[in-house]
Amino acid sequence: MHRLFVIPTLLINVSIILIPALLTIVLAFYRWDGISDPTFIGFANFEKLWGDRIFWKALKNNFIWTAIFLVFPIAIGLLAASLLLIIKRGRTLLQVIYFLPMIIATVITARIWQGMIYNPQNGIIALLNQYGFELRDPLSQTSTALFGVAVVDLWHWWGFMAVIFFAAMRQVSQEQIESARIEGANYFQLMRWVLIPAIKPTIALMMIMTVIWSFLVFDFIYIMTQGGPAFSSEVLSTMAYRKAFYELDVGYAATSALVISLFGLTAAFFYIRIQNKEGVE
Amino acid sequence: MAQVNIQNIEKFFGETEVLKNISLSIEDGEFLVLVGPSGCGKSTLLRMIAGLEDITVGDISIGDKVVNNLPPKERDISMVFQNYALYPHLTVAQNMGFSLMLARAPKAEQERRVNEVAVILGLTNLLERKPKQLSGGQRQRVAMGRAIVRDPKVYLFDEPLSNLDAKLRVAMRAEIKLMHQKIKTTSVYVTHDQVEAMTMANRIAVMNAGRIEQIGKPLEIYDNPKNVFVAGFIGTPSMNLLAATVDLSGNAPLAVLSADLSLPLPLDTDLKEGQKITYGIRPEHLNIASNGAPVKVNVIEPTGSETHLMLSFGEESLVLVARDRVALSPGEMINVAPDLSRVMIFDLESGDRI
Amino acid sequence: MTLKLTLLAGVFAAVTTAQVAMAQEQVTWWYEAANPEQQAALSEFMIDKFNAANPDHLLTIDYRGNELDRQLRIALLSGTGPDVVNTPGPSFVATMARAGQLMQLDDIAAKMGWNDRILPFFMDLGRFDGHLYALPKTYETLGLFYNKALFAENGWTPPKTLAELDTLAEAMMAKGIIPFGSGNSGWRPANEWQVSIALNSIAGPDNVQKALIGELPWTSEPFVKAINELDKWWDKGYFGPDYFSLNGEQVMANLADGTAGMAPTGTWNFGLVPEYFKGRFDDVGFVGFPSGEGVSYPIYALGIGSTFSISAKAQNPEGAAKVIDQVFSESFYADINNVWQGEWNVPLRDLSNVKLSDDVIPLYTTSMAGLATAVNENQYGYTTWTFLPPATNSYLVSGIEEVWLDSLSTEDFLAELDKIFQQELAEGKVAEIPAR
Repeated sequence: MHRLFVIPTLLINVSIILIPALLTIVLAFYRWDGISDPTFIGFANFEKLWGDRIFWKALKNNFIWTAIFLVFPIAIGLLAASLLLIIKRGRTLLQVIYFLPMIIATVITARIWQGMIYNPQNGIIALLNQYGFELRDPLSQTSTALFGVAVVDLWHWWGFMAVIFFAAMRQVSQEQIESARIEGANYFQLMRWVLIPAIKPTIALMMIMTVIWSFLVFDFIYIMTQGGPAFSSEVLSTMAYRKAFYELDVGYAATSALVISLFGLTAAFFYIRIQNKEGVE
Repeated sequence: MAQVNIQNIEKFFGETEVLKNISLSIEDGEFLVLVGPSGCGKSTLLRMIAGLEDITVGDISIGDKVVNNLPPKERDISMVFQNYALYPHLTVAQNMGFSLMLARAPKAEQERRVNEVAVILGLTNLLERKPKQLSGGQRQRVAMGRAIVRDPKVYLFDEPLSNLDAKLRVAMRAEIKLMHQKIKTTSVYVTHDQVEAMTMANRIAVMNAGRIEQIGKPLEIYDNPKNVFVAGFIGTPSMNLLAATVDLSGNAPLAVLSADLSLPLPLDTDLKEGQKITYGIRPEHLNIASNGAPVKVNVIEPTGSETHLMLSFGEESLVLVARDRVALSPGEMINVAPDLSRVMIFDLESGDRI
Repeated sequence: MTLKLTLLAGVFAAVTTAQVAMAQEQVTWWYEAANPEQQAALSEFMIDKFNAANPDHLLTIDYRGNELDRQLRIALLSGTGPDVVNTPGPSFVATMARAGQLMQLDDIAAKMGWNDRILPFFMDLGRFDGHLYALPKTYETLGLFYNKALFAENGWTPPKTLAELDTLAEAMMAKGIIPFGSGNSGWRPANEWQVSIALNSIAGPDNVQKALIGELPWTSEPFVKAINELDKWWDKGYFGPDYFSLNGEQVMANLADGTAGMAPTGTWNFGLVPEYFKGRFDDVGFVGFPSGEGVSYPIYALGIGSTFSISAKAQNPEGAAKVIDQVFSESFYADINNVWQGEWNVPLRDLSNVKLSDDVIPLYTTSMAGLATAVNENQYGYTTWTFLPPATNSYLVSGIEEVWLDSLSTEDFLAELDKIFQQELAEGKVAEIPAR
């Protein structure tokens, strides 16, 4: 009888996870415009993907994005979290400030940066130009567009990391920290020998999630550059979106989506391995 | 090696005053125990010596130097924590050599010092283990080892034995005492356990509600408590403290405890008729005597070496410790009498010794 | 058991009666994003008037935002969706019609007299395999807005040939004026306006038409010339330094304050003129884009912003037909264009009875009249977003950026474009192109 209790969750899992996932896999082998009947074309989508220079560009951009987000938000987050740990007053306020960008809608954040900061006619960049700085809108240059978007995503993201890391650091025994202070640890030694080792599992989890998130990144790029100019900020998800909804090539979009999932799965595999290891310990 | 001077220290947490005008001088090489019930401020005082808490008012000096504004690492102290505060990802050797590593001492030097201390503490075989693989006692020893390796001017102990089981606690107690006798470094030791205080200290400072009630050698405090609090806190089972009224009308002065029970007072006391007092007598100074006051036996607790009797008369209760085995059963009536030379009289209101 | 059945029957009867009692059949219509004033205008001139004139129908308009197109496709695919279907253009209509999602409108059109009321060229764009599936909602064209006051001040006249354009652009740049106010930050496909202009005004509409029906590859010489010219303008800086940073409103603002001299863009910008040229409507002009050699002047590339169809699964096809009929009425044309220009430029044949209010800028009225004449004289071209199939047009938008930013040659760009186009042509995804 008790097995019946599994049914609701099972139904939800099957209907909103398993079926769409399987459909995506199946669709990758079809040419389909999303309107008429799909045609089975075997591995043609995969072959096309392999030969598609934009796919490789997008994949490379995903890797760059992953590298950026593995380094900066985590580094800034650790720094900010340790700051929260050290200061005694204003913690709550600072946490709220850290977290604020996270709760602003993506579209608003993107538009604020695009219109009020990056814009060369009425943004802060324009102001700086008046004072003699030779600055361009990073989103308008192929060499900087991806980084321009990354900065915005970073701005909205690092506070979340800081709050997560702070929560983890608060679990570190106060005595360990005090002991290190007495034994003569400076700030960096405290981080290196006490705090970071103590929250290593959290950092590892965040890094794995960062990899997954980085391959799924879509919203900021889509809103700010739509992958442009000239594909310079294209990533796999914007490419898949364009294929599916602008070019009505749903099968090809599914194929690129599969590639995204591949990286997500790899990261998830490592996550589960780490989890199991912790369970054993 | 250094003495520690604490002068007119006060500490506030917000509006709450947790330490009230504390002055205390710890001699060079002394082992001083701060003892008191939880919340009395003893840990706060220790943490202020360590530099982990700010000083609201007053001065603390270690050696000749006022350390009020020095960060912990510059005070040349070591601290042993209740929860050991070992780093789980480091080996025993790395934990012990932590301060040397932080100071970037030469590798060889680090190894030499750690090995020396490991020999003293019997940790040589465990040096490559992680804290997780150690027992509670071994961990505490590593924590102490870490403090010793540092060779500080002052050791600070914050209830280091509280997490250990009773047997281990007794063993570690002796070990720490032995260690101190060897290295003779000034030590301040915080505990709520008065047995630890009695057994380990050169001097004890009994603290209560942010104040030092009494400072003195263990037996001094035991024999001559300054007030009801110290009298009740030091000694197990604790002293019988009974509210009484002085009756000088008869031949011998009496402390009237209730309508049907009085206990004799020492002859040479300076008491007035009808004075309200607290009558104190330690359980071991109460004897079964046929001419004593009648009380009822409630519970008999034989510990082997002695027997504890829980007695009652009226609403009040009494404890008696007998060195000899007694053949009694609960509910029986017996007569008890105090060893008059050991009776302590306190003012009922102020609690001060009369 | 019997009791249960009786109960069920009773409930069923009650429900049916309730529906009959309402006596009004809903007509549903999904619209894209509209601001509050625009929604109010639609309420007043469409919903209220329709419901008053058709007491047995009840029209509701559902504003679905910018992703209307996607939502519609998914809804129609699953057999739901509104009665009145707006598609983004003829090439989408082709695919949807062939998938059986749209109703054939031949009989309704005959009954309602649409063929007499609407310009035949646009009616033809809604026909596939001999049947009518869609009516054009609004038609638009591309041309050159220019700052008349700035031109007068400098003694400039609007260019008619590419040579005149070059001379003028050089003169502007020498004065620090951006020749082509333009930007795609708000709407990335704004690139397609520039490509449409180049293809039609330089390669010429005849060549574009041949390419669209598959008689001429996109790699052929006239198109190479057109894209090379467009690339040359970019390299010379005609489009200004901030093309990728500016949005449509900023472009209009730049044109208005003389930062930019001209703006090659579409008629929908008439909606912005009242705001940016407030109180000085005489300062703005609109002309055809200069033509290349061998192409007559002016060429207006035609586009259809959106189309009207009736869903094959419509609950109330009769109501939907009546709604569409009202859209193509003279009274609605006048009402809505008085307050909302550019978006409701439905291709009515005869506008002589339509009287727009005096508040509408005169330039709009004259420009539309000029456009009608040009179309009449075959001086029209083809916008890429209306006539190219989806994947081809999507590639064009990003691909031209690669040409501009020198990561792709014109030849490679056109070769890839042609490859995608030929596949879509073979799959029947290209709209039927009327003969010229």
